[in-house]
Amino acid sequence: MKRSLFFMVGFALLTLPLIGFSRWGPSGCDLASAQPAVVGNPSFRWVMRPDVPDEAYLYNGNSQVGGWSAATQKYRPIINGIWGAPTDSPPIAPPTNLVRKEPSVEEKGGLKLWQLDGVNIDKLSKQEKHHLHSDQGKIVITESDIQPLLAVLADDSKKLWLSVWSKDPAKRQRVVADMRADPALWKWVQERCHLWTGEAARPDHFLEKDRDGQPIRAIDGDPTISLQDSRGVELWHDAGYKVGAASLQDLRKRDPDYRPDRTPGPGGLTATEANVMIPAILLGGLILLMLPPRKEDP
Amino acid sequence: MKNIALFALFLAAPLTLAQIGDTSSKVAGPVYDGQQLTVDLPPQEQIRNIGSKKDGAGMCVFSSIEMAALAQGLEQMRGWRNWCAENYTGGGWPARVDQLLEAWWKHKGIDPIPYYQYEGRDPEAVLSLIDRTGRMACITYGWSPRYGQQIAHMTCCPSFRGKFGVCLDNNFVAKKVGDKWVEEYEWMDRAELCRRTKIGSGSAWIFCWLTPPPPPPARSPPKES
Repeated sequence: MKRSLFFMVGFALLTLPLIGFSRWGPSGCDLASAQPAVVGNPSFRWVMRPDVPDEAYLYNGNSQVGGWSAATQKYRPIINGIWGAPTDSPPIAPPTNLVRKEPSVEEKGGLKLWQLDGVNIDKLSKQEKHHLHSDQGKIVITESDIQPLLAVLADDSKKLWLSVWSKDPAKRQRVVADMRADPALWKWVQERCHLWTGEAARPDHFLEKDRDGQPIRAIDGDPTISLQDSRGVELWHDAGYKVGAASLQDLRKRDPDYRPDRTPGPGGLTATEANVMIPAILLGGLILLMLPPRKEDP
Repeated sequence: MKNIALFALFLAAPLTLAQIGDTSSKVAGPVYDGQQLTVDLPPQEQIRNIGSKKDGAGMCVFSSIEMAALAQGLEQMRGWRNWCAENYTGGGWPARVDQLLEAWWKHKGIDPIPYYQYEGRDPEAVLSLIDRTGRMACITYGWSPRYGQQIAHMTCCPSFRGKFGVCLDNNFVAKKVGDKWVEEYEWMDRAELCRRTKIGSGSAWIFCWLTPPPPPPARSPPKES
């Protein structure tokens, strides 16, 4: 019997903070209040804690049934062990000796109502909705699962960064035009790279500096062209683009997944080359097989 | 037998406590408890919320989306929030964002920019994916100890990985004190951040630009090029 009592007391001590003595925030529960009639009922009483001087807890006998915050002037009932929605009116008048902690200037004084309700939450869908808007400005997919997004972003995280920096947009666009002029190279750019050539691709842009204002990369030519892997390791760096479009073929070969026979681009084997190379390799292998075995030394 | 049952109940109590999770949050700078932000928008680029010039209603949705655009180098979006505040009433929801983005692109004569919006009860997978790809999400935000009450707000989420989800609130952007910037990111358990996105409507709303994030800082320049 003593042991049972010990466990019961222990359990009560552990679970008490869950409701009675924890400072309360919204539980996300919108249960309707279902308080029994309490006015004039002597079994209802307020309990206060010296270490939380701005809150009082309403008890019915030995059970906590709600809490009052002097700071927010809100009462929240406890329904089936869960905090209910806050209301302005507690079932019985709360204690008058609570300390009403004034919110700090930062918390309240500087905030206006418009700062708290800029989202029309009644217009949010209760159903799962994924909207993908293309660069044509139209919704291309609206589905109830994450797969379309995964298809776009999951591959995206493995891409290389191909960047062209210059203060002069025309210089950046000239390099892009050279890429576009070669369909196979352009295909590789689109499939394998994040192309960074927009208005932010300037040496003086804030994204090119760390928090101390120091450059985060060497932009030492105009333009500077760089290929980086997903961790930032620079695979190619061209300061000045002096060789011109021809250098872009070498740049493409720095792709860690570069395969002459598979990677799109002019460096891959052409159909004619493949027609010659493949039989030649097979013939070479055959000759090696037919060579007489090397004699062992005595 | 009775004792065993009571003992089981005794053991279950801490588990119940653990399931409730940590609903607190901590205001700190861009590094907290050894973790750095995924997207580090400099203090001077953070945009403070304003009210619409038309009706005074809040522009938090548009402030958040423009901040996320700047973090991704979308300079063509700079000024969108102010333009919306001058010409339209405040308050936002997904269809309104579609409408005002389209209006801006038309006004500026620029190409549309791809983006994504999510509405639903399970924001965690979406936020994880956005973070993994180095982007900044815009999220609904229904409560914070800073407010002490339920709110209907949109903020940015510059990090959602490891132990923490982080909120960059346009009502509490970086401020300059003397010659130093004081930043006020709100760090919390990832589950707590997800919970806060749904308070109010029961549904989270997430916005994300689909253009690439900026290239990472360069490492190990090649010896030959």
